[in-house]
Amino acid sequence: MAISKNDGPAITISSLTKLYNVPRQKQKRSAIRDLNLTVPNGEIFGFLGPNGAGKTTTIKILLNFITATSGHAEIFGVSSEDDNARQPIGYVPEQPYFPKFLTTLEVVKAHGSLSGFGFGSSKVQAEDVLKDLGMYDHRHTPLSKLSKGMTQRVAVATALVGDPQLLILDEPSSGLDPVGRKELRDLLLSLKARGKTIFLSSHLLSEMEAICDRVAVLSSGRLVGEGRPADIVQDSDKAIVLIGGLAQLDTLWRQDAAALNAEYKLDGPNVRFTVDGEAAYPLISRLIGHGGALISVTPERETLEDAFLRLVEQDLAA
Amino acid sequence: MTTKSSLKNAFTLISVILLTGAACSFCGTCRAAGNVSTSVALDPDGDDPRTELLYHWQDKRFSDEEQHQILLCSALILVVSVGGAAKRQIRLKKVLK
Amino acid sequence: MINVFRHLTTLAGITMLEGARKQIFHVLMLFAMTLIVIATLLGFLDHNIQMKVIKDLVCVAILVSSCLISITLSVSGLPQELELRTVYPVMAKPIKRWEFVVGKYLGTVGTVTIGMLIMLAAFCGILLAYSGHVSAGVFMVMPFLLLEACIVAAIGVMLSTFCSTPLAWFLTVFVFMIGAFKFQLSEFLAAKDHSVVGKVVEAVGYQVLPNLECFNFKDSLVHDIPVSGIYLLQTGLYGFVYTVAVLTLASLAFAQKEF
Repeated sequence: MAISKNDGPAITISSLTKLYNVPRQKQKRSAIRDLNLTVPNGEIFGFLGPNGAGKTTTIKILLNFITATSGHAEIFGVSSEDDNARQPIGYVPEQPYFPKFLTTLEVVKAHGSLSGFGFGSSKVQAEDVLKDLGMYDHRHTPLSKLSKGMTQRVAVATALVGDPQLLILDEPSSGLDPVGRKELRDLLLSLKARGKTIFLSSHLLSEMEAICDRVAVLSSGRLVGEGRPADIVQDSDKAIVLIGGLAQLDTLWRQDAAALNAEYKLDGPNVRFTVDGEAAYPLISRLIGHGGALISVTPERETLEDAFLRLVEQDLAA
Repeated sequence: MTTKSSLKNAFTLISVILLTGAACSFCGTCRAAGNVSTSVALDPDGDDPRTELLYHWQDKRFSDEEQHQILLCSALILVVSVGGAAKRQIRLKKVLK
Repeated sequence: MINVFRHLTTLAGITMLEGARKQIFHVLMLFAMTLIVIATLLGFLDHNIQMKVIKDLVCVAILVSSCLISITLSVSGLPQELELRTVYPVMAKPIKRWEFVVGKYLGTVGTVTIGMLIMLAAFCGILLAYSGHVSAGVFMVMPFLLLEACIVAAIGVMLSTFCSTPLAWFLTVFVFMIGAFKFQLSEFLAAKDHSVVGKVVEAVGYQVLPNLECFNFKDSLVHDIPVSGIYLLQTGLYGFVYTVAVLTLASLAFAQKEF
């Protein structure tokens, strides 16, 4: 199935609900409640949520591993319950496992065949993908002998071998060292440049903030936030002031800080102050007067992790 | 492959199996052939040491029970294949509405 | 259609490779070869009787071993895939549920076939060593023993879609035993006086459970008795249709499964 960038959304989820029976209880447990979500084509879309929020359940419904109780999901306009909907998908599960007596090349080649390539061309495709991921030298190694990080790369290879238009990755950085994570990040950005859509579920919020075009935050099965990372984080009118050499001086500066409602935290020989923007410069001039040295002044910015925690706490409180 | 051609292929395959099984049940050729070969092989004086075994194999004919099982199995395959495909198509149409 | 063929052959191929490399398969093959050797050691009688005994015992050894291999591989295949979650990357491809079940089954049958070919080679070697020739009957008996193992494997796969591995193993062995002695068992039960419920259960079981005895042509090999081609064809058809029906049920059960 040929999919172009001008086609409709990659993923459309409408009023999706999944209920599970609870033994010895009348009331069912809801894993997802009335979820509505659209993932545009050609973007990196982050899917965030605490453990048990329903992220993996949503992904399983998209892949038709489980059936929704109500609502439906579509992949490039095709119902997720249709087996053909998975044709343009490459999937990397959380903690991937493969038959341990098969070699790397055998597994990736098999996935190439299952994606629609002939037996001859699937071998060529598999070797190319393994070269791109730095696993070509291990192509004849049994999967039981690979490290966790290498197994993760093989999982990415099995997803990429079919040249999918939509990549669904569940915790892809799990098991990767910092170098591996950077390589994965670069790979995802290069795939996006080639027009692929990436649906990414991860707990590494700093990485999500760096590469995602849009994010959705799930909590207790419901969507609590969606949009560009810059739109989700809230602006703060506070400033962070770092003053050096203050910690060992007299404590009079603490009174000045208290007077200007500035919170402070010792950071070795330095002190980090969080203060309202208007009070920043009066505070700085008083602290310099006490003998401190100004190191930096930066506006306080909520990170994606802060925004995520805020949204989840709000939802739990509600 | 469209639904119609999938159903057609499944129906054709199952029909062939069903008809073969049914023809098997009612045709008496193998029984007649078995009787002839057995009677020819038997020593008329009954001295052939394999007589008893030949009768044993003669009894071990393709039985009615096995013929019934072929028909039952064929019917099951037909019902499940065609019914399952139809149910899937109905469900997909309902979802798209 | 070509996609279906490609999916089935790919799944069968990786299942066969995986199965043939598993330690349990090697252990069961060692068990099979040990049984075959023991069978030859027991035939230390008059030469003509010795050949009959060897043929009889080796056929039984091959039957028991091949069915044991097919039961062990078939009942553990699907549950292991679900437990270890190796099913996820595969089912994320555009594969139908029934293709996965049938592909795994064909792979299991492929592994059993490899085992039986090794056993057949050993059998032919024994016949050559003891009698100087291999009768054509051997090549008539072995395919039907393989067909019997295929039916047992199909039953194992079907039961494994909704039972745990130990329960599926036990039930498959139970069905194998019933099927192997179905005629004698039914005659024994017919002589007993049952309640109506008992008679109904017996009748249903008789109609539903396979008659595995009809695939065993070792008597014709041992006593050099010809079997008509029509009968062989009917038996082959019976085995094929029964296997397809059981796999249909297995596919139906797996289609409803959530994982």
